[in-house]
Amino acid sequence: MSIWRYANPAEFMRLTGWLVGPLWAVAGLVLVVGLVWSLSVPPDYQQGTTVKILFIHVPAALLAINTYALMALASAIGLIRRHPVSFLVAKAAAPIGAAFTLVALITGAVWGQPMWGTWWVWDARLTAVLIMFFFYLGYMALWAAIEEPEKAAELSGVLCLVGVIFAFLSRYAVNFWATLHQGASLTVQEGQRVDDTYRLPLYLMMLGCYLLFAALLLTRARTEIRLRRARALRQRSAALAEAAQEGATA
Amino acid sequence: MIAWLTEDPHAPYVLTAYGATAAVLGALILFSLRANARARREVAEAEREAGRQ
Repeated sequence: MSIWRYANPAEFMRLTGWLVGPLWAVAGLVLVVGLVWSLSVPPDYQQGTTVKILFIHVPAALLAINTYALMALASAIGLIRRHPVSFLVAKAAAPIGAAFTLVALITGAVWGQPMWGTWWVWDARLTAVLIMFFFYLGYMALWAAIEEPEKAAELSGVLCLVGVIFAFLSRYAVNFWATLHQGASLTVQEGQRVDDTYRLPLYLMMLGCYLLFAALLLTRARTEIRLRRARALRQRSAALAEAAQEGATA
Repeated sequence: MIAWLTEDPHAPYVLTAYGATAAVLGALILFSLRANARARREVAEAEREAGRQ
């Protein structure tokens, strides 16, 4: 059985229909527990209580980058295999990715002021994330600016693929250049990893944010498919009405 | 909580970060659910129109 059958809008709606409600419920539950746990951790010996900001900054930054990667993958599949659901999934993911990128930028700046002594520095990682945010905005603007959906899907898909370099740099810039932003903190190496006091609530918040992302993505993708169906039905009704009018005048 | 707000110099930063996150994600969730409800209505309406013809 081919996986491409899931690219059929009717099949996608049928498969995701039973999943959306439970996903919202589980995401809400995990996030509530994660938030309570995150806000009740003891102050870090260096960062003080600003460590609590990282429980939202780290999941938001991860989702900002991974959502762009998902959009690029969906756009590439859409451009190569011409599956309409792929383009719609990329379109549905864009506002979610933009929102998480904005959260990562805001929380990063708010954490940076007391810890680094500045709200912002033009280092490689921060700049790459900012440019990625502009690519998110550009992608959504392009979809909105072009009336013909097929053309909008193709052009915004190409734009999305162009911006992949900044998603890649957002993730790996700390490995290529000396940046003020630290490297990976969630290492598994003993002696270097974050203490369990902070690591476990962070993992829970990451899980909660990924579940929220999944619930939002499915909801938004289903919205796009519904709007596409409504548009198709209206076009068919208009064509039938026009044909009937021509038949009456002939 | 009140003691933490008044005594900890970092409390305004933590509150700002959590407040901004709640505002951004809250707006995203609200707009997504509203758009979904509107799309449902549009499909139902279009299906009714198509059924009449």
